[in-house]
This record gives sequence, C-alpha cells and structure tokens, in this order.
Amino acid sequence: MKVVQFYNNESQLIKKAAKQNRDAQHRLYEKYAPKMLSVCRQYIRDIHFAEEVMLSGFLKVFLNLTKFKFEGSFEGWVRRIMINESISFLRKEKEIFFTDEILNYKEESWNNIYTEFEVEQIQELIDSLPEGYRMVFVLYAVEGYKHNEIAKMLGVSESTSKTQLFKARKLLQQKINEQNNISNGTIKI
Amino acid sequence: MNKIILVMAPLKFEDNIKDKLKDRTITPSKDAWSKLSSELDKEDKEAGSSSKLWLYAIAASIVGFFAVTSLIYTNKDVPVIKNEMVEVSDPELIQEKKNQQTIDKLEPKVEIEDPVVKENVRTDVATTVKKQNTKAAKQPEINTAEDLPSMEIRVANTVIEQAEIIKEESKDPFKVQIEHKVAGVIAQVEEMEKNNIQVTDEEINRLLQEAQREITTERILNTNKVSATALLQDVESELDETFKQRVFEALKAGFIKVKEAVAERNQ
Repeated sequence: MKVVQFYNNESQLIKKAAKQNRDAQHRLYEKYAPKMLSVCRQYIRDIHFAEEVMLSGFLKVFLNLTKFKFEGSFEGWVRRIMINESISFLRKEKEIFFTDEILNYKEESWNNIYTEFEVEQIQELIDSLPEGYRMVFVLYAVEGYKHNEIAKMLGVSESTSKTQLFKARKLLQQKINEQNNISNGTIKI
Repeated sequence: MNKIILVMAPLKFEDNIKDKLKDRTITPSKDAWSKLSSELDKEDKEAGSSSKLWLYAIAASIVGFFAVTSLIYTNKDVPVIKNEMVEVSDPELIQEKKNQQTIDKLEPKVEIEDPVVKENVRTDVATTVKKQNTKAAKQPEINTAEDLPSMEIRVANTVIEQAEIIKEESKDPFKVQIEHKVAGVIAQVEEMEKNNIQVTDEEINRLLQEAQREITTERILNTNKVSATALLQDVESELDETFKQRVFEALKAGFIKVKEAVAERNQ
C-alpha cells in the first residue's frame, strides 16, 4: 500500500514538474541530485565540473520531462541523461583517443583480485585512468552496458570498446598491485 | 584501518566497484539549486515569449488569410458595368417621347366632355410643347467634327434652356437630379474657362456623357424601384456572410485551441 502510494505520489510529482511547477521540480531535485552527482563524478575528476554537468543534466530533465512516458524507472531515465551529459562534457573538454587495436585477453585473471576497496579508493583508481579508458570501464563495470551499447554511445566500434575495457582493467590491476605492495597490514592469501 | 580480506569465494573486483559506486551519494553545494532554478526561469521566459510570438503569428496569418480572401471575393462579385452609357440612336424618337410626356402632364386635369374641344386643347398643348422643345432642341450636334471652341457656350446655354423647360414641366425629383447634373457640367465648363484652360469639344462631350451616364444609371435604378447595386450588394453580402461565417468559425475555433494550449501550459 505504502509503495503504491509512494509511486503515485512520485508520478504526480513528475507530472507537476513537467508543467514547470517549481516546487515539484525542487522536490525531485532534492531526491535525485545526490545520486546523480555521484554518477557524474564517476566520469569527471573535478567535483565542481561534475556538479555543473549534473545541473545541466537536471535542466535537460525538467525541460524534457514531458517525454518521460512512465514506461521504466524515472531514476534510470535521469541517470541516462546524466551519463550522456558527462560524456558530452568529456568529449568537449578533452581530446579522447580510442585505439582500435584488437587484443586477446583473459577475464579470469582480472577477477582474481582478492582485495576490497573503499569507495574513495575505488574512485581514486578510476580517476587515475585516462578519459577514454575510464568512460568505457565505468559504462561497462558500473552501469552494466554491453559493448554494442557502449559503442553506440561513444561512436566507436565494438572492438574498440572491448580494447578500451581491456586496457582499463590492465591499468587498474597494475595500480592495485602497486597499492598492495606499498600498503601496510595487508595479507594476501 | 585494516582492510578486510575475504577468504571465501573471491568477490569479483568489478562487482565490488559496482556495488560501492551505485549506492554512493554526494551532496551538492548549497547554491546548486538556485543556479538551476534561475536557468529554469530563463527558459520559461524564452518559452513564454516564443509562444506569444506563435500566437501573434497564428492570429496574423488568420487575419491575413481572411483579408486576402475577402478581397478576392469582393473583386469577384462586383459586376463590371458594361455599356454604362446609354446610346441614343435616334434623337428624334427621344424628343417625341419627351414631348408626349410633357403633353400628358400639361393636359387639363378637368375632364372635357366635348371631344372636339378636348382634341383642340390637346393639339394646342402639343404644338406649344413642340415649339418649346424645337427651340431647345435647335442645338448644334455635339459630336460633329467642325465644332469650334466657342460652341461650348452655346452648348451650355442650350443645356440650360432644356433644364429650365424640364423644370417648368415638373418638379419630379428625378428631373431635379438632371438639373443638378447639368448645372454641375456647366459649372465645370465655366471653371475651366476661368482658369483659361482650353476646353475642347471632346472635353465637353466627355462631361455631358458622364452626366448622361450617371442620370441614366440612376433612372434605371430608380424607375423600377429595383436597385441593381442593392441587389448585387445583397447577393454579395449573402455570399460574403457565408464566407465570413466560415472564416469567423475557423478563427474562433483556432483562438479557442490556442487559448486552451496556453492555459494548460501555464498550469
């Protein structure tokens, strides 16, 4: 009952916000902004730029709210807009190179890392990646997109997407190994 | 802080990243919403002015369409009056007719029982009228090529005489109108003379023909108490009314739709 009410309340809120009701828009912003800022931060190293991209993402959300047909989750729809805005920002600000080199790699060795990292460490590791690797890695590993979807979003081939992911993983593994070697109190089994 | 090391089945590194990052939240800065709100206000203003422009454009196009179509209909339905000038082929016949009209009017109203007396009276009247009209009718042909500039005065005088005769005969409003027309022509000629403008016979012809045309047209309109112009106007107004009605309905429907759209948008 509560869930149904909540959903009805949110859809009413969305409908009001679609009619440019500022109060409804504010409530939606307060609900989703923290999570969406986190999404943008995954792609953009600088928190201030990430916030700007998040705000421009919300502007697009509220101006195009009539296009949301209540067919999927609202959060997923907003998240997609944030990802597109982040990618556009990176493409505009940085020259991103994607190599088309096709490589053979083994996934099993990648998943033999027995270390759990805190969120900040994970973010640090991701930040250390070049923009091209980072985008593909986050889209694949965090957002769960497939290579054909990533290829469409970034305007590259599927093989390029796979190559970028491989290189990202390789680099991350290298960094993790470095951290493990220098950190104290870590025992490897 | 010691890191926790899992001894059991290893967590996939990417699953770990996914779990941690998916649930992460970062609180935006305090002025973030105000920035967003001001951007939204800007967009609202622009959208408002553009929708007003759309309204004006729609209204202007409807009015323009109506105006153009009205013009087309107006031009279509106004009949071209051809042969405005009534050609007088036989002046004698016309004169005869005039004479008869005058005779009829001048005949004594009191019934004369004696047919001989009656006939005599009628003959006298006819003779008098004919004399008067002959005198008045003795005017040079206006259309002859040998007309001299001085003829304009004679023509004007003749016209005056005719006007006077007609005036004596009757105070019919139609004839009063003729008097006015003739007086107008005379005045125009005199004015031209005053201004030392050489008035040619062609000019006089034109003025007289114009006056004649106007008189004839009005006679036609008034004689049978049927106004062609009024008839035409009636028809035109009917057609126009139908068309007007249609256009107004379309305009009204369009306006209502626009009004509703603006109301919805503002909610």
